Amino acid sequence: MSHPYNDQPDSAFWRRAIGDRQPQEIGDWYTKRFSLDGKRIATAGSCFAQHLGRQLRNAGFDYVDCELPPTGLPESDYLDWGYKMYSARYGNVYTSRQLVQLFDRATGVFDPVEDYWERDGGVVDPFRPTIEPEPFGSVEELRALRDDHLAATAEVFRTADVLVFTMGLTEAWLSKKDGACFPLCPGTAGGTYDPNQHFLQNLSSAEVRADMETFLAKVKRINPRLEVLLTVSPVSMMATATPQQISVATVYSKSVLRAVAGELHGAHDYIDYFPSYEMIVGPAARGVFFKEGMREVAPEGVAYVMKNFLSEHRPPASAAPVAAAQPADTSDIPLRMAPRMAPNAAPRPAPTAARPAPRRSAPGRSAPVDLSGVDFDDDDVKCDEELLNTFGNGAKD
Amino acid sequence: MQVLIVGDSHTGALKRGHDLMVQQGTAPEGIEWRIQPLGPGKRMNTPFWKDAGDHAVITDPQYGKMMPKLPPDDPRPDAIGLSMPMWNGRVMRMILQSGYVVHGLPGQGHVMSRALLRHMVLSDMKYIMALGTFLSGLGYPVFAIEPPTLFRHWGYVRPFGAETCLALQAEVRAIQRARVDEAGMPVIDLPEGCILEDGFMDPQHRSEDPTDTHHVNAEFGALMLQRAVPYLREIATRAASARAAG
Repeated sequence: MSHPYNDQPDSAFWRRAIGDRQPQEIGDWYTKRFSLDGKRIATAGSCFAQHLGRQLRNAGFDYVDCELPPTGLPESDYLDWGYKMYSARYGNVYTSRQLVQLFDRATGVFDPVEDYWERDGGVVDPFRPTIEPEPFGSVEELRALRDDHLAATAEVFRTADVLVFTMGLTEAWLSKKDGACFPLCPGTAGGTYDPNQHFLQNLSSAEVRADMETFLAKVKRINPRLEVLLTVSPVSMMATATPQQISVATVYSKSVLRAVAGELHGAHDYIDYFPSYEMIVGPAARGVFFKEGMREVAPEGVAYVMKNFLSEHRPPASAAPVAAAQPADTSDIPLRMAPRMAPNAAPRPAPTAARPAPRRSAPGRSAPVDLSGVDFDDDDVKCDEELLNTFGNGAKD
Repeated sequence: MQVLIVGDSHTGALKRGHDLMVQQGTAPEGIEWRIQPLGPGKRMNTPFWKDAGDHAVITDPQYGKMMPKLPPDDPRPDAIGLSMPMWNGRVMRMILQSGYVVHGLPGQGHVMSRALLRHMVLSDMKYIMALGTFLSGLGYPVFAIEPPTLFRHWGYVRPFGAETCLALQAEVRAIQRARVDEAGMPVIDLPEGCILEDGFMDPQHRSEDPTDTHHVNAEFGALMLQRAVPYLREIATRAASARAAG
């Protein structure tokens, strides 16, 4: 008897692909739709995207970073100050509504009414309220930094060849005034929650799809070559504002996102879907890739995901062979996860010794100052000479 | 009285200033100066020392060659002057090279928050301040010697502009000064009049090397040592009183 299953590979059958194997032995998760070779890759999304971005950078891919940290900021402080999380300092973009509005704000189409929140005697940006550990001193300062940041964000959308976007949540906090979508509930990391001004919208699959289609149409207008690699965050919700039990709310949210990701993958040939969510959350993993508490992904889980990713997307030839073969073990570095309900519970990266940042050229958004003819080493040379001339040979480097 | 002055390359002018005073017979009586660099300041924003109980071990290999431990055994200093906590050039250069401008300060570039500037300055000086606090905790009077501010000839003034450089310098120095004050560390300030109306250091204080745009000369080094003398006399008097009372 002949039927379509006759020609299916082992990976199509649960027992052969999953049931008879240990989690680490399971393969055939993913076949790439397009190559990343020679392409500029940007990342955005929910906190799991930070892992992907970090690993892509470490593996030697051409990673877009339009808001570089100032030289001299210790590397251990980057995440605290919003640097090196994503391709610009937008912080976590949890929802599809945030993504489309981030694009609109970056391109000047949308200017939300509620543009600052008060906190601890200063103000924070409602659209990235924890991007710096301290509030800004004034609204003017906040706006100046935001203008600069949004210019950088626009550059990300304009110049990237591939956007890796990790879909995180469906519960969105919106303004009743103009529909502005905040990453965190007002009142949790600044501002004041006012039921007359703010409301929760638990986005439906149709709404997420519409948001994503809107975003894709808009971004394609300014960057027609852009390809998108979607993932769904395996990290469960920290809390829900719906009446549902948290696990029920999480499964709803992730199911919507996973379904929409599949629809988008089916509808657009420039969209790929990488199943990190299935690798971590699916029954095949038997829960082994979670840390205690079953919410955050353990380092082994990140390594497993990246091993599968890098086996399809080989790192550039210029990358070190070790990096090419194995994902860097940076998965235990805490992610900068702004809590959506409990700001005081935010995990913070452990402080480590300051290290001088490597010298590199000024950020590429603009070149405001002509540095030709400036010898950056001159002061150091003169310090050596001053010591040599005064104290003799032992004093200089 | 034994006075140890230790620090970055600005110890050079202090040492030459001391030699000049000796040569001219103007060295203050009763004070034995030992002026000793650890090395150039470029790594003083790294963990260059460690706590060894009753002394600090200098762990930076190059600095350690100059002075393996602080305070040194012989002679034991009666006071320790640090010529390192308030050097602003290291942070300024990093910010300017990165193409950033601090919000509210003049200049062009990508905007950095004032909070981040403050964080960077405090991070930059934290190992130095920790050393000062440690030595102070061992019972040594520890003071800071303010380094020069900017000369108009500094290499960054042409591309970035005087206004930008001076404003950034003032901001960085103010943060450093506040931190040193907070630690209770006395500061030997620059003398009045050494900064001209245009905001730059008087060029007469520039290094003897005409190609050096950020160090001062021996005369200015001697002037700074002389400015430390009243503070040192006060310490000596206090110590003598304590001995008499004890």
